[in-house]
Amino acid sequence: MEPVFVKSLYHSPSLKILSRLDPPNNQQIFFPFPITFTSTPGSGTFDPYNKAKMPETPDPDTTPASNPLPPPSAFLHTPESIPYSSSPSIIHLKRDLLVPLSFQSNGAQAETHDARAAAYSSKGVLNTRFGDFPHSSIVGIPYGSQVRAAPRTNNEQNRKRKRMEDADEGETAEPVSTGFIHVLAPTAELWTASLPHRTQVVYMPDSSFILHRLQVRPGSVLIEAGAGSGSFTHAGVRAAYNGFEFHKERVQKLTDEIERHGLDGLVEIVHRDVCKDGFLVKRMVGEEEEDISPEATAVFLDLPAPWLALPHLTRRARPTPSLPTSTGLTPSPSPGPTTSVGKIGEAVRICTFSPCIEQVTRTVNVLRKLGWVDVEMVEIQHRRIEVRRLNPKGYEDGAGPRTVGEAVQRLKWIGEYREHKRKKNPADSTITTQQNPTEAWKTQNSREKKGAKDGKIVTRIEPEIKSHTSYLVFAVLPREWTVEDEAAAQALVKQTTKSVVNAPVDGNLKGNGKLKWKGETEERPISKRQIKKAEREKRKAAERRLKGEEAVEDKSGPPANEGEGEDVPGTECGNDETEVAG
Amino acid sequence: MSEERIHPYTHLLLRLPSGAPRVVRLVPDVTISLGKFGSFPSNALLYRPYNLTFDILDPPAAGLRLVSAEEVTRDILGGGEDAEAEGTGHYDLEIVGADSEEDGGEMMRTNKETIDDPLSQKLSWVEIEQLKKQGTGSGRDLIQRLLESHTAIHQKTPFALQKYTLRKTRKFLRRFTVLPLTVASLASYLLDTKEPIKILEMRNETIAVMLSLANVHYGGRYLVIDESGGLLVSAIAERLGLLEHMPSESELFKEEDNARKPCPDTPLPSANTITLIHPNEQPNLSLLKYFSYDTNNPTTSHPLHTHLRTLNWLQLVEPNDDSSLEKPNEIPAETLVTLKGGKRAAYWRKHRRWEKTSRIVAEAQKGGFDGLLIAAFMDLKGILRHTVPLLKGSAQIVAYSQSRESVIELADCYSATRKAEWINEGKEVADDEYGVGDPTIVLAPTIHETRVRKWQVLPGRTHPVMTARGGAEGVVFTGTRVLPVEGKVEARGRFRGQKRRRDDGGDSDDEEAGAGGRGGAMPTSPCKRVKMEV
Ligand SMILES: C[S@@+](CC[C@H](N)C(=O)[O-])C[C@H]1O[C@@H](n2cnc3c(N)ncnc32)[C@H](O)[C@@H]1O
Repeated sequence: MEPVFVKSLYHSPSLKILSRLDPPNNQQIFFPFPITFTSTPGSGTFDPYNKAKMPETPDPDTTPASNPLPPPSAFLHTPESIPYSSSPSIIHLKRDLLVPLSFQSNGAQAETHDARAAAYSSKGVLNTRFGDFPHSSIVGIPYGSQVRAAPRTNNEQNRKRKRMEDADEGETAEPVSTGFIHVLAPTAELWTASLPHRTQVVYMPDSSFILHRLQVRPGSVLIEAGAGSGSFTHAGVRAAYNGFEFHKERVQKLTDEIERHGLDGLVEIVHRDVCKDGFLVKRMVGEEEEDISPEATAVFLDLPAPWLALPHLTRRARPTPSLPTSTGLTPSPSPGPTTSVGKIGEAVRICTFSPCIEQVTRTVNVLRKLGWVDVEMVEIQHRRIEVRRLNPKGYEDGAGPRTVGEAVQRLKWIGEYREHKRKKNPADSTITTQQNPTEAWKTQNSREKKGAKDGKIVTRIEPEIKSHTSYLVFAVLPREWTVEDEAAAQALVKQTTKSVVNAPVDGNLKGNGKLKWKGETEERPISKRQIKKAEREKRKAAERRLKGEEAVEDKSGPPANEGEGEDVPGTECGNDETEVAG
Repeated sequence: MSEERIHPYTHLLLRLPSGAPRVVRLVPDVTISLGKFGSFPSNALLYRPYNLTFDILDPPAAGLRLVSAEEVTRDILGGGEDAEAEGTGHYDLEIVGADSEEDGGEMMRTNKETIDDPLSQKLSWVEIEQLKKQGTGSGRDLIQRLLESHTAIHQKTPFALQKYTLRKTRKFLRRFTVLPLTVASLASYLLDTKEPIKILEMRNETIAVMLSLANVHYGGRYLVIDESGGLLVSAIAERLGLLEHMPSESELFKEEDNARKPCPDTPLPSANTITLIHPNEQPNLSLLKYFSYDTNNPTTSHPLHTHLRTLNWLQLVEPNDDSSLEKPNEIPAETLVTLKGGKRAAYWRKHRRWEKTSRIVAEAQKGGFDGLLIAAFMDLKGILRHTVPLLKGSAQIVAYSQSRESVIELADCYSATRKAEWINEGKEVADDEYGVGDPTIVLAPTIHETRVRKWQVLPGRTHPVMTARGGAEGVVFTGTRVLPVEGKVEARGRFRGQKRRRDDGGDSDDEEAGAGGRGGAMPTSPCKRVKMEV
């Protein structure tokens, strides 16, 4: 499959630069890619970032007005007021009912990137069951504002709507003019809650933990494979990164979305089957377009078969170690996400996200074979707690008694009342001397008017919890450490310290070669007989070793074998006893 | 934390085979002792990369042996890497293949014959101690001997054997993995080994949820209340890219005496900042020391030095009563030149401090923060009362408490009925001194509870871990700062529409005017409004 969409020629800068810079410079780093700013005259002066944001900062680098920088994404910087923009604002209708909507200044149809939003909005007016809201009444006010509905005009749309509502739910139109909405600035979480779902998405409890554990921070390069609906993408874009997606229609939609949201300088979307074609990205190197490594430090795989993509995540072109045939892999050399030789590599952290335990065991197995360490699997359990006050209504309001005392009292009254009725002639109207128990309760027990602080506070869990989302597998690929690296490090140590202690790191197995013991060997003992045989050998080996050691010790300790060892993870395989010294 | 290499004077986390973490500061030219696991020269780690595993060389050699990833994995698996591929699933039994002629074909070995007898280990305690002392192979030797001296070893199923080996490995192998001290690893270290109370028993998943829900991202301005010794501040700083610091050469060498260095008068940045409000005169941010930042003796080149500012509650709530905000007496320039050098410097220092503090306070009071994050022992209601008004519209409010109850109480303060009461009966009636103030400025209060469940993933033995930490439940409150309609109308006086509307007596059909000034005249039942909202 060909990559169909390669955007952004920029690379995210290193963290170090980011943390030191003052806002004007950051602006350039963070939003380096010019996007089309879809604003018509009238709102043309809108430039939230430059205008009001950092009034006190001297701005030596201000770009000339003729070449204004694009405004930063509303996802990353809340504009002072709600802009005409392609980026959505989130309309909060009520709890858990959110609609993303972008406002177009020419009164034209709001961009229909979301069918739901389009249904709500037409001809520059947002129609909801809480009333109508002309876009013009929303644009220009600060984010977070509560907005009252305009008096409902008796236009075609509303008549239709009313008919529909009446027919449908029998929901009699509320006095709509009193309705209101809140308009919120977009955040990753609000977007997840309101986005058009094209696939299963990753929700906040998972994505937050993944990003925290993957150490994603400004300057990180994060690969997300299986970007799907872009839910995780928005959460992860709080640091610069790349995303891969292979479903063509989804790619197009996500690409449009990212561009509209002003994130296209930070997110690069590539259409590709990562299991087949790996993770390289196209970049202009001189005149030529080349496939180069994105040099990622964090990887998130939300794919059906993450273990198929893992062999592509290597540090440099080298034959992939053979894998269990069950993965159906044809090992092929594949340069991976991190650095090539020459530059000091960073450790890479990975998270794979799979719903089934079988996927986990396969993934973990392959990770371990490929030299990833610190393999850990967790699942996240999350729930929302609802708080309410116990209804302070009592028996007098038609509810049952609330205490034993009340119940007893009531039963007494019922008895008395019945007795009373039996004695009296039903036709007799003097019944009023004895009240009906419900009324009696009301008159005798009239409570204070109930305030907001009456009633016990109680909690319950949200009506439906996501009891399982997926299993999260984490692992780390440490950087490679070669003999040359070790020698260089030792030289540096000698230079910078008093070198009181000469401290070699012995990457070589020689001279310290007693690496295995029984139970650890690859061929597990199969029968008792074989166990015994193995043991005999072991013992002999141990004896040999002991002798060998004495010999070595005479020569004043084991030699410091710097420079001899080759300890590249993934190449040296565990052959045991044979290499015992002696 | 740059994860490239280990630099001098950084804090690291060493994880022993048992999983127990140790935090050490890597001072060059010293010996790092890991107790019974032995010791090694610190120089052996210097400029080496993180995430590698080392064996401690047997004395008299001093140094480390790099352990390859395969070897590490093999030792974790206890040798049974492929058990699953061939294996028999989750039971502690194994089908023995056809080659065991002696038994006449296939048989099952189960653990039914295995005798759990402490006496099956023939090495005595004294002998083990002896071996530990003179043992070689970084503890491997001892483990080998233990295995050999175990009389019942042949009765063990491969699984049981693996487990036994693993157990001994954890106990005796002189090995460690060197990990970077990040906010995540620090949090779990403090939670599991140190005093969890000091960090309010905040778990990593909770921290992560807070960072996400508060929309913490590079470039924002965050108002923070942190009584966890700086853990929350560090977590935010990490997200803002403010935690990584590479001390410059000169700082490294003058490590001890940079206290006297005067702070350069850099202009304070106005974005990508953390503003901390603290209850005592000085903030408690002691955990920042793990990230090379000491608030009492700050390294001026550290990004936090300019991007973290602190003020106390008195300075925020009643600045007039704070003496540190009183302007120091101005000394005229003529007098100043006559002063002695030391005195003059003291004067300027005092002046600068006052300038800085009053700027920080003024800036905090001006508000407009992008988010509010709280981890506190203190009563949340009062904190929110004073801080929510300082937030921008649409900013997120996130508050953590160890106890569910205090968060629940807080959520109740923003209930629909409370809001209705506030609107109907007015501030005078509905407000109480200990409450949150105006409840209508917080939208959609929500409580989140999140917990990670760890699994053991070993071939054929995959299951959730059997025990996990109990203690505080730890819940997070969130809400969104909103601008209720009444306030907005007042604030928008400059809009053309509203003025017109006032003039016209509020009866304009003009769409534009309606857009601006509807707020004032619309009859609304607050009850209904609130009902719709919730
Ligand atoms: C569950 S969705 C990802 C959801 C996304 N992480 C989010 O939060 O919205 C998985 C996606 O992976 C894509 N996918 C599956 N196999 C792939 C492959 N080999 N290479 C690239 N993408 C793949 C699918 O098209 C699908 O959209």
